[in-house]
Amino acid sequence: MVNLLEKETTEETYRYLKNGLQRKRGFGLFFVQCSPAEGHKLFEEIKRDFPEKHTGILSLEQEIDDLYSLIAEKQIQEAIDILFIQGLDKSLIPYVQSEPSFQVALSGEKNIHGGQGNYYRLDTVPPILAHLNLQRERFRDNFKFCLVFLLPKFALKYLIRRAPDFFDWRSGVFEFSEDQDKINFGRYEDYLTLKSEERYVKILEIKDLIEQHLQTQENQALLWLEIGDLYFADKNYLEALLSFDQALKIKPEIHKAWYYRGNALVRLGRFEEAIISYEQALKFNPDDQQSWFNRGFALGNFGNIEEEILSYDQALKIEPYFHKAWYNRGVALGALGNIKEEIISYNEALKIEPNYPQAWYNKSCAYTLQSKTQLALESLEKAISLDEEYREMAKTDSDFDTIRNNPAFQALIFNKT
Amino acid sequence: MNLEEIKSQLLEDQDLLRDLFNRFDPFRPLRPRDYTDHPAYVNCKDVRGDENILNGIGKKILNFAGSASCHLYTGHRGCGKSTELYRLKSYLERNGFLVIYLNSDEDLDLQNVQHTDILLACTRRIIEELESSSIRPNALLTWLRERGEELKSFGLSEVDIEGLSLEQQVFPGSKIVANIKTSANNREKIRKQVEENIVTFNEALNEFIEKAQQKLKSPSETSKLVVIIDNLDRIPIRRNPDGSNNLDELFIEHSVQLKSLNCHLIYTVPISLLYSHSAANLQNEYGNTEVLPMIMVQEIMIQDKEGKVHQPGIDKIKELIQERIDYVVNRFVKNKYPLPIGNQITPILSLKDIFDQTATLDRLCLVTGGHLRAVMILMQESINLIDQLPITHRAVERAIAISRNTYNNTVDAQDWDKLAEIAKSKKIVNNEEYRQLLFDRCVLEYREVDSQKIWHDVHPLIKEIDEFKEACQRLKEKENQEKENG
Repeated sequence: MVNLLEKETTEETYRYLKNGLQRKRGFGLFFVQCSPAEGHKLFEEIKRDFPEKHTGILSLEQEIDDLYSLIAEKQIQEAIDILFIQGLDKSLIPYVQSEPSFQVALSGEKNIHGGQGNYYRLDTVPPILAHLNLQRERFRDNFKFCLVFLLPKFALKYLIRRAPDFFDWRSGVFEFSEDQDKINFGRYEDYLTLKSEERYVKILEIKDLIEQHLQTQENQALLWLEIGDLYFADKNYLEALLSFDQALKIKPEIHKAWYYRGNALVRLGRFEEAIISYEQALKFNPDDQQSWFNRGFALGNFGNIEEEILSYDQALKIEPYFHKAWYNRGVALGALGNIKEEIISYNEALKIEPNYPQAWYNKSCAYTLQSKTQLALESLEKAISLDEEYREMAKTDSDFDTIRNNPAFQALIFNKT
Repeated sequence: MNLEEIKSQLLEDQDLLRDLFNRFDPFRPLRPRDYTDHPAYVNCKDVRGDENILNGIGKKILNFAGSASCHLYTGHRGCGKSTELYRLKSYLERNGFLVIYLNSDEDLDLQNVQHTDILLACTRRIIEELESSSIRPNALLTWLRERGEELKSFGLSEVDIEGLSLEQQVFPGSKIVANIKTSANNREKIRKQVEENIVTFNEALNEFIEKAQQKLKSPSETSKLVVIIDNLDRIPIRRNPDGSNNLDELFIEHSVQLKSLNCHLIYTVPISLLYSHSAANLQNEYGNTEVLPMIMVQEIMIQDKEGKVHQPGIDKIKELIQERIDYVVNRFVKNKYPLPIGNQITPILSLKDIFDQTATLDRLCLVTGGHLRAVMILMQESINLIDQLPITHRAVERAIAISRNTYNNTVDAQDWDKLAEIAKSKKIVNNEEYRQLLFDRCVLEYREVDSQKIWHDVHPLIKEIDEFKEACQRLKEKENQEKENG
């Protein structure tokens, strides 16, 4: 029988921690799950409330592999009754980057609990955890005071799994959980600017948030989307896919999740599944031009060009100023050999976005195939003026073979005036 | 002051609460003194499938005709093995043996350990122990000298051997063992040295052991030396690419080397080893492994119904808690409230005084699954959550929730279904993933006293986690579907 208990308040948890620290004699291990800011607050409060005790803090700024020596050093410098240790997580971060679980990818299994990665793989142990496990007797026998580890949730979890013997000696675990309101949803564009390591820290932070059972289903699903976005920004498309699956398991009606899931599948080259995923997105929101557009792209990559064009048409019906859809539509029509329609599409795209070198360049190719040399050269000149890269491209592009010896073409390409 | 007054004062005494809290340290095995069990020790054999290390390994060594034998001992981490091994040590010492206790935690790198490391650590401990006697390890010294050049290459023997103490002569400054623990580079070199010369090393070492035994020999017996290598059960399993693993490599492939010391050896091994593919080989190499099972707190289920509470097991854990409390209270009272002679009753504070209601204590005992370290951890966590005695229902539930959370963090997402299966079948499948669950104490091993039947069950804390309940539901649905499909 499990009784439903009210969650304790921060004040209560603080009092419990105080009880433990007050009562412990000699060596003691305490683990506190909290944010760095809360950790510092705790340290200050304990220092204030136990004026008779020597309370110190060891702030670790970077990865370490030997905590024992650092504490021993500290012990020489000052008297210690309670020592807070903050920043052990910094020694774990390099080990939390997960790689795609290819086994899962190969088996094509869906709906698995995704996004867990393999951050507690059996073949690697962060040296700091091996050190704690190994040296626990030395800690016990030589440090006659309380060690209070201030850790974020992912680090605590890592410790439980990979330093179980050290953790087994605890005299208390205390959890200061975040307020629910603090969730800030980030933006994919911002995630792109992060370093890979920062993204993974962010992912772990969000996972911690999800695991707090206070989260509403809605929030949980949205948080999984964030995780997926972060993995996507990190080009870890499989984990991204698994994260979107998690979100959809909780809330299948979020059309954005289906859309993102499709994108991950496209990146993984799984076009059939991507198409289905976009169609799911459209089922929940038929007016999402982006899903129509990406569906078209996936169809095209899959070789179904007629359907591809229809999908762009749908996107354009919703958003006539969608220049990329006009452009892609042109390319698809060109692939079908319908050069006339192809050029019309490029023209539509260029009406909306005149500074669109790809469209000018493709239009030039199309005119060349129509033997409209003058128009072709004008378009090519425009493309090159917008982006020098197209000059290089034109040098070898077989589409221009028929006008390659034309002096005007030569002059344009080799910049002869 | 009469007893009642003392009692009510005791319950409010913060110093007593503090003493109680500290007595439930999860990290100190109880040690016998003067061949007598520690006052707080409780013999649990009745609820542990009649397991008694003194009758098992103890008697085997006592009755063994030869001078060398090798035994394996296992059980979940934190179930009380070290306490039992200390008892065995005391028992054998009382019977005239020299018993050397080696704590692998201190002498070995358990993340990366191989047979030569263990042999070296044993050697060092034996020499340490015999240093005060006049037995000289001449052969060992010679062995070392002959390899002086190689050893010098990693800076170990640039000291005048004759001028040092015995231990240092063999292992200058104990550097070899220290190096094994610290430097991977040196470790490899030393391992290579010993490995390449394993035969001569063994001969030299055994000659020394034999000498020592001659010295220790009493008229009636032949062999007197026992080495207990404790805590090897903490070696984490590591898979090799070819599918083998480090545990099989150490205990099976190198069993000859592990048994090569000419004395009685007791190794503590991971419980998961008993369920490896090489379990049969293990039996061949070492005979029966002595297992210290969990205290049985719940009976094995019958026909799909959860087994009923095994009251003797619960009572045993209560006794254990009571003994520790008595130990603390008696000492405390003696110092602070001298009782009139003749008024000394035991217990001064009973469990009824310490806990707000019997149900609170029952709940705590049952949820440990009979795991003793869990008892200690839950007691400490519960005491953290109260400002004064008694320990309340709410405090125990909160403490349980904290431990439950720990288990929730231990279990891999893909393991819930496996756990649901085990909870139903009470058996583990013999493969690596299930063994890991045993190693992580997500699955516990029990043994019935009468039938000696071995069974497994999911840790009671895990059974309360939502993900586990969901997995059970999935399993049930799957079975129903199979039934429908015939």
